Amino acid sequence: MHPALGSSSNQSAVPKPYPPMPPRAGSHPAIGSASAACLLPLWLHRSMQPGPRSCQRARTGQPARRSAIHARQDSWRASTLSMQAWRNLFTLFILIMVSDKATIYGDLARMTYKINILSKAQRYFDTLDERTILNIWSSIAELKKNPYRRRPLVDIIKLRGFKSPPMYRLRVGRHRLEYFIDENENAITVTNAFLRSGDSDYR
Amino acid sequence: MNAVEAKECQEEMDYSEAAHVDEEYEYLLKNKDQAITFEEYCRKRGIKL
Repeated sequence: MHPALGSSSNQSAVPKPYPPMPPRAGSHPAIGSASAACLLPLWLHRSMQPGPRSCQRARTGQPARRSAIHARQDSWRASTLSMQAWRNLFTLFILIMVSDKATIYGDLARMTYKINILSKAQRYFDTLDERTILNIWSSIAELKKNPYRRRPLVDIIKLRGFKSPPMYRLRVGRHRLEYFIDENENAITVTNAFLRSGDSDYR
Repeated sequence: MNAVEAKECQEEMDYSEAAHVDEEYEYLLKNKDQAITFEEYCRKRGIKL
């Protein structure tokens, strides 16, 4: 019984100070460390263990001095996970999500398309100087990663035909490159290239 | 130009653009074997990428 609530017959009148609390179950200093991945199952198992005070006092050999508040805390701790365990679970969840995203973006980054040029586009490229070709190359190098999505350096619009698959038009400064995407061969075929003239791209 | 004329004009433009896409696709199917990669083209012209 807690000293504030009254003393029992076999206890002394002067209340003894509580012994220092041992660390709670589930507290582990290495949180979110990738190098501790091999210890993860053990760490999680330890985190799942609830840590009621009475058990800890029994381990330390001290007589149990419990108040009603402590008893309520103990029952709550015995019935649920500690805060550290919830933190560990949340960290694990974040780690899984991040690694999953990294895998997805890694796959996308590894998959690149081959760029083919047809003769009509080649004839237009012949009229351009080396600097312009290098500009086009920088856009094409970015396009190879993902030819569908519009982003910086890859300013594209999608054009639809009546019976053909969609064609895309890439803007590189005042130059326009029209291409089709072949998903089976992982290839982008540039069919036409021209200089934008007037208000409309369409000629 | 009223709204009806503007809509007709827009539809005409879309029609011609779709026809252009079809033309380009036919051209691609005919000349697919003549395609070269961009790297090959730059090598031909002596441009270092």
